[in-house]
Amino acid sequence: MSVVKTITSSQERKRGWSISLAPDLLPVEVPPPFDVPPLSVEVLQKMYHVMLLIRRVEEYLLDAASEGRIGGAMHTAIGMEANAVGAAFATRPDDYVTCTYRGHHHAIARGLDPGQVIAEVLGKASGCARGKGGSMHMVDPEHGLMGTNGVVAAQVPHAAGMALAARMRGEDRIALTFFGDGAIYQGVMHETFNIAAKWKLPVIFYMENNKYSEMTPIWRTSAIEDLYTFPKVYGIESIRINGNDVEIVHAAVSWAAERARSGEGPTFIEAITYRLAGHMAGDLETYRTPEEREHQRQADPLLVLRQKLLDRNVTEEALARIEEAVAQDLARAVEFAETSPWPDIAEAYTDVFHL
Amino acid sequence: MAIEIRVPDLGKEVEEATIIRWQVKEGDTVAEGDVILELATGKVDTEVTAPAAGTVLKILRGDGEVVKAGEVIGWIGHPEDEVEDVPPADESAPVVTSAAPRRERVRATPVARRMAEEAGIDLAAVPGSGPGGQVTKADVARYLAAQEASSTDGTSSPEHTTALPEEFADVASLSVRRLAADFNVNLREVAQGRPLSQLTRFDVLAYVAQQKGLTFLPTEPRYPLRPPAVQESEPPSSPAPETVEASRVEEDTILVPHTRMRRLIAENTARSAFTAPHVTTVWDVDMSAVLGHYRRHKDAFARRGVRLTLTAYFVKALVAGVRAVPAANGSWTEEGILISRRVHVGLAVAIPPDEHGLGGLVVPVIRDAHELTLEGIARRIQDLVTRAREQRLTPEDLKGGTITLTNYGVGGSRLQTPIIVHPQAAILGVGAVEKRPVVLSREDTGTSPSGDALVFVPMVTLALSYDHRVLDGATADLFCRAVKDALEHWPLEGEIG
Amino acid sequence: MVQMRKTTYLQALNEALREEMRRDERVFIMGEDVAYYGGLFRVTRNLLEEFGPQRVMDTPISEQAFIGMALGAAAVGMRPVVEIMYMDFTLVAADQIFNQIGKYAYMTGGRVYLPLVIRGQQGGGKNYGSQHSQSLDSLYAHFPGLRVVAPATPYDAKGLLKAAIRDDNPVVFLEHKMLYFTTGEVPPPDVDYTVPIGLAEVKRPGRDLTLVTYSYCLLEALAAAEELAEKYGIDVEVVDLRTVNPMDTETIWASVARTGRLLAVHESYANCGVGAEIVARAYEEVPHLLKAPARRLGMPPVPIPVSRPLEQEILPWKRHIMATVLEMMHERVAYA
Repeated sequence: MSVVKTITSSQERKRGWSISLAPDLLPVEVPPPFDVPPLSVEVLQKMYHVMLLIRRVEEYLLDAASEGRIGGAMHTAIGMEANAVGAAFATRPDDYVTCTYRGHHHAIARGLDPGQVIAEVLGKASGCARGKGGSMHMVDPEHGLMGTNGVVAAQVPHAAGMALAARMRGEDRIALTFFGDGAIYQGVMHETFNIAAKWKLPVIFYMENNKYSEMTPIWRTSAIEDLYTFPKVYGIESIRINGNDVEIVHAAVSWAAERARSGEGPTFIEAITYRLAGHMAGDLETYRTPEEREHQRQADPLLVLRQKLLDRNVTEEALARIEEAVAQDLARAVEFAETSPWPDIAEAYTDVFHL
Repeated sequence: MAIEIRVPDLGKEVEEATIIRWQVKEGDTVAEGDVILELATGKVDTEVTAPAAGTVLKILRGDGEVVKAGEVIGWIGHPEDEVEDVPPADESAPVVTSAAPRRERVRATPVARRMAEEAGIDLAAVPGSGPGGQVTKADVARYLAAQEASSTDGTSSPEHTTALPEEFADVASLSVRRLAADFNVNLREVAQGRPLSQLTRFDVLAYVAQQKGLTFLPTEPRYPLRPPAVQESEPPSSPAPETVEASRVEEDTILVPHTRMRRLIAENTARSAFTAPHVTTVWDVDMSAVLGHYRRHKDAFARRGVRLTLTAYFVKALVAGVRAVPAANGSWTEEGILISRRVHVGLAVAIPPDEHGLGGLVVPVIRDAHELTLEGIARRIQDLVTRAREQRLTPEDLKGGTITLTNYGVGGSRLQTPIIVHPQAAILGVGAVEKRPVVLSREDTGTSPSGDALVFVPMVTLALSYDHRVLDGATADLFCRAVKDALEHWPLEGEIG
Repeated sequence: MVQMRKTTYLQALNEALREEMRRDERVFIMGEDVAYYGGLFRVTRNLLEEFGPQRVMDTPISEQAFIGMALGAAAVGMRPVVEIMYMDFTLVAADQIFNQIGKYAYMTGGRVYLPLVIRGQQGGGKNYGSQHSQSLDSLYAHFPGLRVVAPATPYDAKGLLKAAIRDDNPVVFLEHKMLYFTTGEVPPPDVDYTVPIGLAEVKRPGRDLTLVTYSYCLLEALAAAEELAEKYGIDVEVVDLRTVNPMDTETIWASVARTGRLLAVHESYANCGVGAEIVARAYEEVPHLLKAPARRLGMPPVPIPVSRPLEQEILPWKRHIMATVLEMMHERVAYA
């Protein structure tokens, strides 16, 4: 079964780009170092529920931002949900996760209540960080989410440190860190690759390559076409996968997690995905054509998974029930967040220190 | 239509003045520009001229009253114009001097003022029962007692509270907010329902010590939170000028309110007299040489536009004294004797007395007298005295004296014991120059059978009052010896014979 | 009664690390040359032998990564102590220290906090030049979320390092290269004591002027105070701040209440520095205690030169301290 495709930027520029719905555009197959056993329909339906909920929450947030109810920078992961959900289902709640400022999907996938996510983005007292962190600082230690981060690649050594802590304590926890293609050229990334490889830390480096480093296509600034080849020079096992197929993501992360737990050290996963919304709320998206985006909608991970479920004899009615349940989840979350109070001004001075 | 007589702009720092006297009375006819009254501001007096020609219709503020810049104090107009008997209310009075809000200076006795400062209350809030609404010691005491009562029963009068306006009630100070952050404190828990602006840093520190267990932190200040009641620099035994209770102002007495100048003179002389231990040394000086020089040169000086006076010689001689004993040009401080390398000679100038016999005194300063020739000094004296008489001295003219000369001889006195101008170390008093019989001994004349002769010599008596913390009898006399030598052996080096 | 013994600042630090690592197995050390070499200045010597390579780790020269890893380890319950060879190099990892470590507890609404120590030496006096001699205490004190300590004596160094390791918050622990071989009285190793973070101490009582300082400048200040007393009869009270953030202004104000004069001295740059902060707070909180203008003395805004006379010229040490104190005493007189 072919799941790993190599796409070069030159081909991409010539022909446009697609993922799984147009396999004819993905020419080179790299044999996967792991199996992709089909997941049960029940699990896939749960995944669909979470992915759809993420999508609806972020659509709500984009609306709220356009209404001026959200200030600052808010980054959505619309189109990238399969990465978060596949990875979350492939790891344990006590594993550690850090990720970039694009982290709503990881927060919800890890199990953070969407009401707390929305409240945090709105700056309400009931937010997961009491309104002090906002969109870029999702946190949920109970589900292993140790923080999403506003600075590109800053969270990468944090995960390595968590992996180090787990190993020092003799635990079989692992750490998983998510970042974008733009993070690969931060120096700290390479510093961490080296230490993680040298110390064989149980950490998974998961790159969500959504093709754009913020507002610039990665091929414009990268001297290297195949980003996943970088960590190989540090001796890190490194693969490229289709990040829009939740089953493939799940399989890849399961494999990498098993390697980490068994002491084989870090794994680097480059997941090809696509950001269907702008870099942040209010992004003018001048760097791509509407046609390109519409073309990419064919590979929307939600469509991929929905088709997968239909192919596996899940009825439209069953899917509609999931969609209805998601609508109710969203309504509850929005109600919770919007009716939550603002933090008291005295809260401005608490939590700088732990005392 | 009647025109207002207003107190003019009195300068940047000056908010009020005292009416020395009106030159006109109601019903008098004046021309525009006529001087109609005199005002005293600090030590510099000024004249107010008529803003227009006409009849003085009304005088709203009498002699001796304290008035503010811009205040309407009278009206000029046609005899048939109708004018108000009372000054216009403050809000309708156009601000003459500046747009910045000025604090009305409240009339209060010095004791009341000090009590208010110590207690940190605004005098304007205290109802005054003294003459002209003056706030007295008793008024302040009553006010404080009332405040105490209202704070203990939990009600406080909003216009007397020092708290911020309601909309800022929850704004805590940076010190408080910083501590909250440093020690992870929720200020609401500290405040217990009070507005956050009422918290002090000690509220937070106490909370931290108690709730966070950081017992090494202080919970109370280990230093005074407010300035001490009496400044160290003030004399502890300074006699508090007592207020005259209203009841004591009876028909056979009058109370002349203090002018600012009177008050300053009182404060300065009392401070000096009760701070610096005064000793006065008295010297007689033969003025023959000076008078000879004076006669030879006064016309030449006059031709150059300079009025030569004996005072100029005394200033010059004073500088010679400072050369001999520099400490005389110094002042006592806790750290040491602060000696100025430059000699700025203050010159006491009397202000003519009023009908009560209350005069005044200004001490303009001849700066860098040590660098000036006799003519230079004479020019400065001429300028300062002229402007003092015309009440055109500026605050600059009065600043920075390092030693002072007072020439009471112009009034005929032979000897006074002057009070030092604080914080200087010495003041030289000069009496009247008069011919006195002086015994000359044989070696001087050789004419008398007894060897001694009685001659008539122009003499002056000098009195140097000095701060005994700085100078001693011997050093003061060294100073006087140098002054005497300079005068008796005039001309000095460098001066024209 | 504890029998004190004389030991070096260096030894005191080594003992603090050893004792805390024995006491708490969550404590571990990371840094450049700390394990096999024992640290460039030998602060971590012999720790590898006792605690093994799992707890004393040589890192590559990757300050961003290992400071970031310390954050990660602390976030999940460990108590890392990171050694920085020269504090100047922390600027390489400024994002991790200022943007990440200092803000982490706040950004997570207090749900994640970071018990970690970043320690290393700074300061001039040994001709290391511009990039190995700076003092960064003012910089660290400028940002929120970091405890900043800078002990000057072996006793304080040991007590504060132990307190720093036990603190639940990030502590920047600033040593000074001139201090390592200074000696002082320290209780024997079996006596467990700490010096609380956030508490200043009067190191020399005096009547005329309060001199607030910390780190190596304390020694210079004490020497200056002795000479000022002998030659000029000026009696300086020297307050050792010990902790720069949070700042124990109460101890300073209590001293100023006695002396009426305040001078803050530190080796970091004077511009926008700790001294400016102390002076500003004095005018905000206790202006009535000052009988003369408060002053600060720090490094002038020049990179630190290697040449001995040039370096000595700019260091705010005894000569400058004495001159400033004399100026202040004179100024007081002049304004009186």
